[in-house]
Amino acid sequence: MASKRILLALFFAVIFLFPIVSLIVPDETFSELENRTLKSAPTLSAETILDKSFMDDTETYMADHIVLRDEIAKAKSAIELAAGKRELGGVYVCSDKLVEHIDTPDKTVTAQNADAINAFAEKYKGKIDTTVMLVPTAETIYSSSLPMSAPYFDQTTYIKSFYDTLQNVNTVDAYAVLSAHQNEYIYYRTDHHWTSYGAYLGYTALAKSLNLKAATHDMFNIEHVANDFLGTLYSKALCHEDFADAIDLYTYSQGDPVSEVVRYMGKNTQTYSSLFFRENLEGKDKYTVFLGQNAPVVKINTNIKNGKKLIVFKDSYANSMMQFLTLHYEEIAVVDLRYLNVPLSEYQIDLNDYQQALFLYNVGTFTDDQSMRKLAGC
Amino acid sequence: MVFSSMTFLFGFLPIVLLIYYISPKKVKNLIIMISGILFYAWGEPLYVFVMLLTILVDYFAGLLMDRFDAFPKRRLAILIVSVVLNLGILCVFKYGSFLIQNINALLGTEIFDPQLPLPIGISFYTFQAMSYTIDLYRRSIRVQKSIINFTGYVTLFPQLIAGPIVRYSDVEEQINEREISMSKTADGISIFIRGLAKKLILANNIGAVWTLVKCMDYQTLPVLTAWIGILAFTFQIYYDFSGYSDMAIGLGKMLGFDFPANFNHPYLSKSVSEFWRRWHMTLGSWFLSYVYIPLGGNRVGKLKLVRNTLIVWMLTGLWHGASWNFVLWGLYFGVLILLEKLFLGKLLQKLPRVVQWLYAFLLVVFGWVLFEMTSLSSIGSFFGALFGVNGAALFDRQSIYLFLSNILLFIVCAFCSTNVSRRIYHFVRDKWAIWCANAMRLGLDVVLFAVSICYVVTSTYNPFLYFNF
Repeated sequence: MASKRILLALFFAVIFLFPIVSLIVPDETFSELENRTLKSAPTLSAETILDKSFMDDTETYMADHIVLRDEIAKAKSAIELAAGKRELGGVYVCSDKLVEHIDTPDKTVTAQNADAINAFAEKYKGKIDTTVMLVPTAETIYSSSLPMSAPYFDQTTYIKSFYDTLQNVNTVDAYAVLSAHQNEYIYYRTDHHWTSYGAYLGYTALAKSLNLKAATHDMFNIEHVANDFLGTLYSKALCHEDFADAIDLYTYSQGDPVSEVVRYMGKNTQTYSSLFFRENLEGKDKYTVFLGQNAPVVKINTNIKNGKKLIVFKDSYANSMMQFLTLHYEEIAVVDLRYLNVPLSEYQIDLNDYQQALFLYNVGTFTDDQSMRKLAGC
Repeated sequence: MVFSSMTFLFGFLPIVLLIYYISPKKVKNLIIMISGILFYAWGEPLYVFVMLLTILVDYFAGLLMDRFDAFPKRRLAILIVSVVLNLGILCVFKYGSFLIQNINALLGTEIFDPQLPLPIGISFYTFQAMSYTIDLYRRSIRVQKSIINFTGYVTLFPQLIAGPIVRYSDVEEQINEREISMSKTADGISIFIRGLAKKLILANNIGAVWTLVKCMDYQTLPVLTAWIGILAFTFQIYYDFSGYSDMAIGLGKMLGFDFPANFNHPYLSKSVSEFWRRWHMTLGSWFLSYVYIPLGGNRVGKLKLVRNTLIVWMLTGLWHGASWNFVLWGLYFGVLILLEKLFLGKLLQKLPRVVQWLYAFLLVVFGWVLFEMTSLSSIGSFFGALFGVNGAALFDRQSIYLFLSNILLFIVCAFCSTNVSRRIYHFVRDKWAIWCANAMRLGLDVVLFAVSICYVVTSTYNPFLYFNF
């Protein structure tokens, strides 16, 4: 009977205390771990009851605001890891790093992207020199260390065959240089981005296509600004805090050329004096130290008065590339098509001012990104 | 509202139990009625009135049958009206679209299909309510004069939407008089936790494997992947359904009710007939009592036996869903059971037990293919993949990955589908010490509850790579 009493007490304690404590503890509105706004309290009305949104919202609201939510999520990951699972939340748990699994791409999206880039290159042929750089993700570089013969899609073949469909553009082989340095720290262990060093390697490959003379590695001062970075892959898998990453900032030893960084967010503009948003190192998503949160348009001006202007269409892999490219241009316009909802002219960008255009994406976002078609409206 | 949701576990259940336990005996059935209606309305704010209509029909049919106790013809007429209305409501909402589509296809007509969504649990509560009027007509139960008690019986939330199909006769006494005790509640909690764990830990995780395999291309599906997929579904449906039944039985005990068992280790069966005596037992016995036996049962000639068996199994198939593949699935079992009755059963018994088991298990697994695939062509191509006639490889990198990453889960699923754990418990209890057996049980329940809570709470955990604005 004692065991029955214990079970009874425990069960009722859990089903009564969890909701009561959750009600007493004030609601959080934002989950840092998930990088999203949490559900607000549901509204009760005849309409929300009849379309059942009240019921659905109540369920989400309760799950979003239960006490100890993050801890319980971590406990669940620990349980699954202990049970032998090596894929948590779409992330492979390898022996020394987390690696994001990229789904086999949708051919139509890839074809649409190729058409959009070809149309762009054709339109500005002779005026803008267009370069495309697709960066393979860690899943391809580290395919041999994925757990238990985990399936992955071959990004090197994908990149090659994608490049083959492009006309009037330069293409950059990022795979070769990254693969050659795979034993070095080129991807974060807990985040889906490349490290500053990975980006530097990419820069050396890119420089040839952009006709730049890449600065050698020893020309940079490297500053370690964090060693406790738990990135997006950690958020998904919720295990291995011991894989925490370091973040390095590269500044040119002969003096930082960046004079002004302007972020355009809708009608608001924010002006900064550096590429690095050091205040973001205090938060969870420390990768945003590079250029901040993704914005539709960021303009970078330097004190190199060589008249060279570059426009970059990109995903967040490009954010850490800017510490290198700024050495060579008077102005760089960085455009994130995913967040761009108005023509570029609204941001005082006239494509005819630019001599070079760069499309810089990682394969993971590129294969899944439908925003390239917005190019036609630029 | 499903039992494995936040709303139920941390909202509905504690509130209802609290009110139920502190209120006097007289109003307990009223609380059951109100909580049942609210429980149903949470999932079906409109269709709750359809359910109430069914309840009123059967309640008044009962009263009238009692009133005309001495008039056999009137009683029969009342029964017929109630059965027709019950089945009529079921047909309109569950089979309406299916009937209209088939009639249109067959006759080339263009009858409008309103495509009404299926009310949750309508097949369960209709059968429960019908058991009352039919048994009353047969005089095997007494009339229920209190509308609160009768509504409470149908809307009793543990068994309302997914079984077991509790017949009125099962709980006739308990509705008026039932024991609510600490010991029984604790037993109920233990059964509820097992059910919760079956659903959240086993069914959902193994189900993810089938979800993945099901949407692959069967023309290129390797043999190993096909087998992993359909075995995953085999366990998913068992743990999903029996887990839900366990939760219902456990919740019933917390409220003082004893419901009939619904599953008895079906995957240990050594014949298809035995499987159906162990799987969804309350449905089987419902069809036995209200369809098979009235048709003449076993005590008929061979031709009628064939007819009766096929009718029952076609209806059993159709009960599972308004689609031809369910009819096919039902008839498939009907034919197998007939064959076993006629000669196969005797033949099987001469074979080693492991062969009997393998025979039954494989046929059940093949049955799940019919159950899960809605079109004949996908049934064909999936069987093609199972036997490698699609020309695909025996296995590929993904099959190996699926195998390696789920082997432990499969082993646990297989283990829990046997009665080994119960035998271990009995062994420890009888040979060692009762306290030791109880401590083991308590430990297991606590661990399973904690892990289940982890799964419930993290249902909305969903990190974004980029902040969406």
